[in-house]
Amino acid sequence: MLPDALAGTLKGVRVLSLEQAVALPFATRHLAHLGAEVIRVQTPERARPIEQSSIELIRSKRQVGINLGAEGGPETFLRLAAACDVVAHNFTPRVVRKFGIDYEGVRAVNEDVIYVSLTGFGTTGPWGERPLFGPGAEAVGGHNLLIGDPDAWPGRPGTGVYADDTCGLYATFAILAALEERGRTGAGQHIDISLYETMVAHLGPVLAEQSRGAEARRAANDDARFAIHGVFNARGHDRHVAIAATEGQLDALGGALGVSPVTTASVSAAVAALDAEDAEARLVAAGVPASITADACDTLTDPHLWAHQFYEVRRLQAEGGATAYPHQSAAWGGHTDGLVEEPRYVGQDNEAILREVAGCTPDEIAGLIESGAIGEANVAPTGGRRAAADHETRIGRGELSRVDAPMDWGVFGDR
Amino acid sequence: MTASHPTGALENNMTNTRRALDVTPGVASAYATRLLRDLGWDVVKVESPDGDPMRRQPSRWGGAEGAAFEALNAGKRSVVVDPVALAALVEAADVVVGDLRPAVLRSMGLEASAFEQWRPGRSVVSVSPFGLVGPKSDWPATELTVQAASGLMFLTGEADQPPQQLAPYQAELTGGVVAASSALATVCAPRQTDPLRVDLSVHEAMVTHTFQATGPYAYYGEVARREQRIKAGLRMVPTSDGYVYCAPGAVNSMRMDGIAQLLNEPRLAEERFQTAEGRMQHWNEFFGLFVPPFRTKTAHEWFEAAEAMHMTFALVQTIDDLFACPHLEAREFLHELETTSGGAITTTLLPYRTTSTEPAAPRPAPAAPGVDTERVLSEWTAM
Repeated sequence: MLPDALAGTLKGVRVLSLEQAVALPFATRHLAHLGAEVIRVQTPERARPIEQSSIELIRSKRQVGINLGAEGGPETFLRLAAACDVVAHNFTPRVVRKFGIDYEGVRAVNEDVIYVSLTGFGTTGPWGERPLFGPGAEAVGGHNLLIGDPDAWPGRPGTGVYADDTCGLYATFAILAALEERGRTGAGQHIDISLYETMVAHLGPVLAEQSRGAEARRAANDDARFAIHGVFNARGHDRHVAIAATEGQLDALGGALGVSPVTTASVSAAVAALDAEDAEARLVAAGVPASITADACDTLTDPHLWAHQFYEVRRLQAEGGATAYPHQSAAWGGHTDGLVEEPRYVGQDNEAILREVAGCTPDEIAGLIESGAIGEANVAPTGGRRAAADHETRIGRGELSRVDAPMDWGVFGDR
Repeated sequence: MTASHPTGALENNMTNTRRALDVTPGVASAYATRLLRDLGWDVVKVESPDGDPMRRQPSRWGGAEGAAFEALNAGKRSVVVDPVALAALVEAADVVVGDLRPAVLRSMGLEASAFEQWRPGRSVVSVSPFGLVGPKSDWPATELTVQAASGLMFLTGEADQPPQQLAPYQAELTGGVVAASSALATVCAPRQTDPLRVDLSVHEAMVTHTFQATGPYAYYGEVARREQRIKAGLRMVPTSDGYVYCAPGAVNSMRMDGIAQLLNEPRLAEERFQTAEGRMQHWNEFFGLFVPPFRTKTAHEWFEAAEAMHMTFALVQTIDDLFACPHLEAREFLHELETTSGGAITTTLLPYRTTSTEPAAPRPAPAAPGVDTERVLSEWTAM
């Protein structure tokens, strides 16, 4: 009983995705994981190097480079769109209107198309034309005033891509729902999905509680439904254990840590004297919900995640094939066997896709290259390093917790 | 399996004939089936005679009634059934969703491996904190501990604080979206002789978010931690009436020329403030020039002023701000829902707009455990 059951469920579905940043690439990468054929469209001029951080978003997709601003560019996009089940973009409504590739434009060549506009605020309404990035969506969507200390400035989810990922997962849901509906009725639809509204929807129970008189606010690590609920410093630098115990679990908690009476103060003192791993093990063995607040090393070396084949070790050509790196699975986990393809560069599949999907002749393809409607851009990786201070400085400033010696990921399996 | 949905489907506002059976308590499976309900599916919730414990849960902030049950089960019907009737409902469903850990099934009066024999039309989708296999599968877990194990909390909060939890329910709701997508995928796939069996982990759904931190560890051994100086940095600053989000995301590479103009503070355009590195080195001066000017206008005024200069700011909204948001109102995104347990709640329907279906008026969660047992058994089975 593994999530591999899902592999291939979208076999035969073809997706054309004019995508940038994270949200839509995250969605289409999940469709690819289900077996859909995903064609990623980018502008060659705006191509960026394939960095370590972008591999998770672009692998398993074929790549077309179209210059929408060049003569024949929009027509080429529409020829491909006519042969796809799903056509998606994450640009502002203004951009797709300008090139005639909005829902109306695409529907004119593909009546049953499932068309996805993934935008900041949605395509209608007073803020419909405004741009918005993921981190801003978390703020405007109500999340940041629910994170951190009540007396401090607002917090934010600890990744730059929380809203993007979340919106991407909802977009995956929306596209699957549309495919299911089309399977029954034959009709396509326009899906108008936004960073803002998916962030709001992702607070559903909070909205409900607030409307019934609760006072939703930042509460640090508290939760009034538990007797002990918090994050406790353990021994060592930057090691912590999260504990959530109900009234009925207090005896077990006290027994596991050897404290009585069980109070937040006594638990703090006990955990501070233990290694995080030790505290976690004692509590879990006693049936008390607890976990180390995992850092990147903890998650990447978690035996549980490796047992699930959540990560897979790959040698990537982009890195010269010299070193093995773990790459993660889809949100539903499970095998990635045969699904993680080498990331491809912008326009790498121009000829094959225009021939196979759009039915272009070699002469037509030559003409499109000539006119600049299509192009390719293989931008060399820059090594993936940000312009940043050295490790020692960054540790000193508190930007990094520590830096470990490079690990031989091959020990987790290699392919 | 033969499906026939005479009058019930219309009365219950169902726009298609797909059936989902939610067999256990739990936020993730409840949210998964709530999303399917919003698509027009007929969703039946199986409860124990004393009801889903979520019915009795107070607000997570204390001092008020909880409303998670009402929000997560809107539009569903509730049954209380014995194992024989449950088996018949399972056979009649397209998809069965639940937290199928042995302990949860036993708490429902079922055998730990009962689900292995279940044969719904399409699939059995389990969504549990750590999945059904692997060393952590039987770990006691809550929303907090799953957030902690996912790696996201370690990155959330201030540099000088212990890790902070995300907004409430984030892990479980994420697991719910993934479970709903999985259910849909099994219905999109060509029909199989045997139902597909899917084992989802809420933990994994959350770990997926951490690729920006795990990548640098895999490649360079860097253990990223909570962001330094975000309070006083470029993300959110206090205005005369609340906070405004003033950075378009990439703090590291952002130049200050535009901000200098917006704030009418030319010194911010000095070269030493144009890189993250430079700002770090001249932190106190930078802070003194950057933060105070924001106090001179309201958050809305800054939002509009920035927009006029093509800078992407965002409001930092409370839940009450969302309730009053003119954009959400224009898009009819929020809905009032009368509940059977007293008073109305505010809820969303599908988290997007589509030309396919007009959002149907939401319907309340089932008033009591088993209120629909007879009706559902007669509609779904020959019982």
